Amino acid sequence: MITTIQTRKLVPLLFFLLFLLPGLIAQEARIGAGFDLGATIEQNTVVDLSPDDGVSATNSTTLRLFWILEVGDWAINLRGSVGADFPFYPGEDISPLGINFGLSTLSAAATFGLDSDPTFQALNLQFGRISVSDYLGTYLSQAMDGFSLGVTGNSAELGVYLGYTGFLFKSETNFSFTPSDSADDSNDSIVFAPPRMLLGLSGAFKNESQSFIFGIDGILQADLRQLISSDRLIPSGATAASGSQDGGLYTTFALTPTFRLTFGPRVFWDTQGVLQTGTTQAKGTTYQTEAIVAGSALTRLLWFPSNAHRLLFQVQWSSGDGSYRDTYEEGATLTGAREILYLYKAPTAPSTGTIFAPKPGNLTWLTIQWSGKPFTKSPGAFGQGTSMNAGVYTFLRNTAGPISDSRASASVANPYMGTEVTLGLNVRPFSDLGLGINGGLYLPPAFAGGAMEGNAPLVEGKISGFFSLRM
Amino acid sequence: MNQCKPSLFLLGLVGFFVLPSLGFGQSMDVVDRFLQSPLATFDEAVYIILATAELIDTEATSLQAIDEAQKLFPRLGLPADLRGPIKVQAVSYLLVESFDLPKGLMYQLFPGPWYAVREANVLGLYPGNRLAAQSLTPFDVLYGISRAAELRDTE
Repeated sequence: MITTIQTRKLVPLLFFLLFLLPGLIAQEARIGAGFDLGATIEQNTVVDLSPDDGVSATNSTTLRLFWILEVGDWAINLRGSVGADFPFYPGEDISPLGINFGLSTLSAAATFGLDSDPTFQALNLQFGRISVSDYLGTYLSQAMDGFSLGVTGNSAELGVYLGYTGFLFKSETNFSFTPSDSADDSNDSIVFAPPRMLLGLSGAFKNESQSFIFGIDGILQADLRQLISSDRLIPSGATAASGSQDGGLYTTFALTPTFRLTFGPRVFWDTQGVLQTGTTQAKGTTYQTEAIVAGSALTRLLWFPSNAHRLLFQVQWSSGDGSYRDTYEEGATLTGAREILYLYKAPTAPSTGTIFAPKPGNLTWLTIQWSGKPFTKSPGAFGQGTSMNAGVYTFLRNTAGPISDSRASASVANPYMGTEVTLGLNVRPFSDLGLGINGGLYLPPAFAGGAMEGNAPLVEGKISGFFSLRM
Repeated sequence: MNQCKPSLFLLGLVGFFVLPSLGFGQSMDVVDRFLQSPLATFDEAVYIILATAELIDTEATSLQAIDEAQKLFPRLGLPADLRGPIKVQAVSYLLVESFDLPKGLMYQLFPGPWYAVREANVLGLYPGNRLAAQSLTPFDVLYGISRAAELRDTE
């Protein structure tokens, strides 16, 4: 009881001392300090329509909090979230799936001018919970606890970062590669993400007009599970137990050379290659360490026909390894001869589709997207604040091996994995209030010989609505 | 060389939007003094914003401009030193109200300097995001006036 009363008093006091007091000081001080504090409430309802599973819905409500304090060259940022999901199945009671917490940013950042240096104009330092990414954000776009240091100039930018992901909440990462990762993911008593270290070196070089940019990142993703606990690790050479949730280590290093060409103010062409190396473990007669050589390539054209419209054409390929393994997960049982390229897996999976959303790996997908504001000639907030989007996504499997969606048939070589079409309408009647409805249909390969398992549905649909208010 | 480009751009905007509204005489003296200070001062910023928005006569003094601003926008707090630096929230509130710019739902529920800063950032009134309680340079204020006038004219 005493503890409860003390906690009730302590929480508002801590809130005042930590968040409001610095802001009030900033408001009154004559030191040029800046301050903001607020929240965004988001409401998202997703209705899944499937001939097999019927209609099901998920309702999620999320409150995102942010707090920013800037003093001189330094900015301190805090961004966190708390949310709850409420799945709904016809005929069943609605019960919350659980409360999700997130802390995407808790960082201090500073920018210092380098007046004496002819090449670089500014030095950027950031530490705490920060976000890092490769040049396009298609291989890695991730929060971590660590630091980043960079210099920026008119013709070049260089940077380095180092961090750890094991203090993030599970929902904030995509590091589910090994059976140990998957076991942690499904274990409700484990709240933190798999322990990984991220080390990155980045560079971007531009010509004077910035019509040509070459960016390159070297990114090490190291599995630190053996440093945290060796309980669920299978050493190389051990006999593999069937159905075990234990696994090995998955460590990768990737080079991501990227080219961006700009044709006038409205056309951008990006081309990126990813060469991924590293080690993983797989089951043969014994558990064994395997070398990874995998790759991905992307090319995309971004075209703004006018200020109100945007078109994207994109093709991305990622390597697969044929019949070498039985499942997508690392630690899979080896079933065939080793191929030159291994299954590609990015630390951060970019979104592929809305309904059919496999992770990159053994996959080629083509994307055509349009977004625009078709009612800009209408008066008032409706015309300016209403936007629409549409997209067509086609999926091809590169080899007969597994992809991240387990419905892909291993016995069928047909590469076509279906097409998805999406349509969305978003309305922003006020700058801080957004409403939207988005829908999509996924058309799996229904014809005989399609690459999905025989019980795959003919069509799947999804409709989602959202509401967002920034306070 | 590149460092000069934003300033030239700003001068162009100021020349196009701000100076025609201010005319000559008293107002040009205020602009001269305003630009010579490293940080935008409260009294002169209020005068220039209200004069550009045509809410006061250009022959008015800075103190008359502050009196008028208090009458028109009662939530504008006065700093202890009227010749001291003006803060982002005061400039934002004056710009959003003086130029009758679009306002968010939270601003309509709780009008005032706090939510005016959010509106100013959404509307791109400053070169980069600014936070409440920060000071502004004279060029930042003139950029905000130019942008607000441009938005009002395109509405």
